[in-house]
Amino acid sequence: MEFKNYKPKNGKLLKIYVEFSGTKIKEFKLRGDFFMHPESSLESLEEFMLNLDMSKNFTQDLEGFLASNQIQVFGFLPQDLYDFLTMQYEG
Amino acid sequence: MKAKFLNTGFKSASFNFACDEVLLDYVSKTGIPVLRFYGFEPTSCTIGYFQGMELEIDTQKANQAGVECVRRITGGGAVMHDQNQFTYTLILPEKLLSQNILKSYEQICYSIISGLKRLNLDAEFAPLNDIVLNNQKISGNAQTRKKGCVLQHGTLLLNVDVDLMFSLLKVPDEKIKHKLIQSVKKRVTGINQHLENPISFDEISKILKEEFLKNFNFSKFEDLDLSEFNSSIEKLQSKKYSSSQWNLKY
Repeated sequence: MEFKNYKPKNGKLLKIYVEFSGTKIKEFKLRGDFFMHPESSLESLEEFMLNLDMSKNFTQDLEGFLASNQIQVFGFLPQDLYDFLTMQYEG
Repeated sequence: MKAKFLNTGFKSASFNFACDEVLLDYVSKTGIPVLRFYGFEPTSCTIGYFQGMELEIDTQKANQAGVECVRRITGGGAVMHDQNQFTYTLILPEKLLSQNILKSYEQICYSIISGLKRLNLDAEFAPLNDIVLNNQKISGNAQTRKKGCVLQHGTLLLNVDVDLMFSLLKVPDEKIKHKLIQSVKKRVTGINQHLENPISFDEISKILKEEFLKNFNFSKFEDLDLSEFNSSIEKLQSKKYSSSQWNLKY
């Protein structure tokens, strides 16, 4: 399993493993030196990311998920994940 | 409001984090804030809650060197802890701090900063979780909120050995490791490099204890006797913080 490094501007160092199936995310693992409150939210975030469609409202969907579950993240923004995943998808 | 204080000296990483978690339960049950000062012995590597152990640490090398590698309950990055560092944990009911996590980091770090000012060191808070001196990092801090409490722990570098730091930490590209080390040497410093007379762990402890007391308006610190928690700490140390299940969780 190869994790790729991504350092968003003003963010923390992210290490991400991703696989796509068409435009959808098939596998997603997020590691790094970011902060997430509560910490136990990581698994639900990773699960939520599965089947998200890069061609649809990715950033808004992710923002909505974080807000509705009262998850606070420090070290990256939903847009950062979108930017990285787009590079992987297109790359 | 009174608070409890304890200095547990230099202990292993698994002990230190088990101790933090047991004390978190204590604060959750009693509502009494606890401040603990400590260090790490033997040298240890700790990783943030969301980091992958094998992604961050050369665990084979660490095992050979007898360096304990432990996952924290807080986020943030990988840290090499040697005996040149001062470490604190402050645990208090959430209601005593700002609900805003960013602000609460600053509230707690302020006691470190005001202590350093007494040594004529003009340290500053660097959001999210660092303290810098002349734009060089001297302290990293990490926070979690559980069971109605805030637990923040942080390390203050008295002296810094960047080469040791990188001896076990993995870098994204081995080819640029030397360059990276040189860059970190410029960005990280220990407070003793800026003092005429080096300060000891005990001397900085005395100053910072006074600053936490004053800045949080605690009426006094009472010593907390750890002996009543020993069996809980030992149990957690062995079942959680020494276990692969926890340390290799990610």
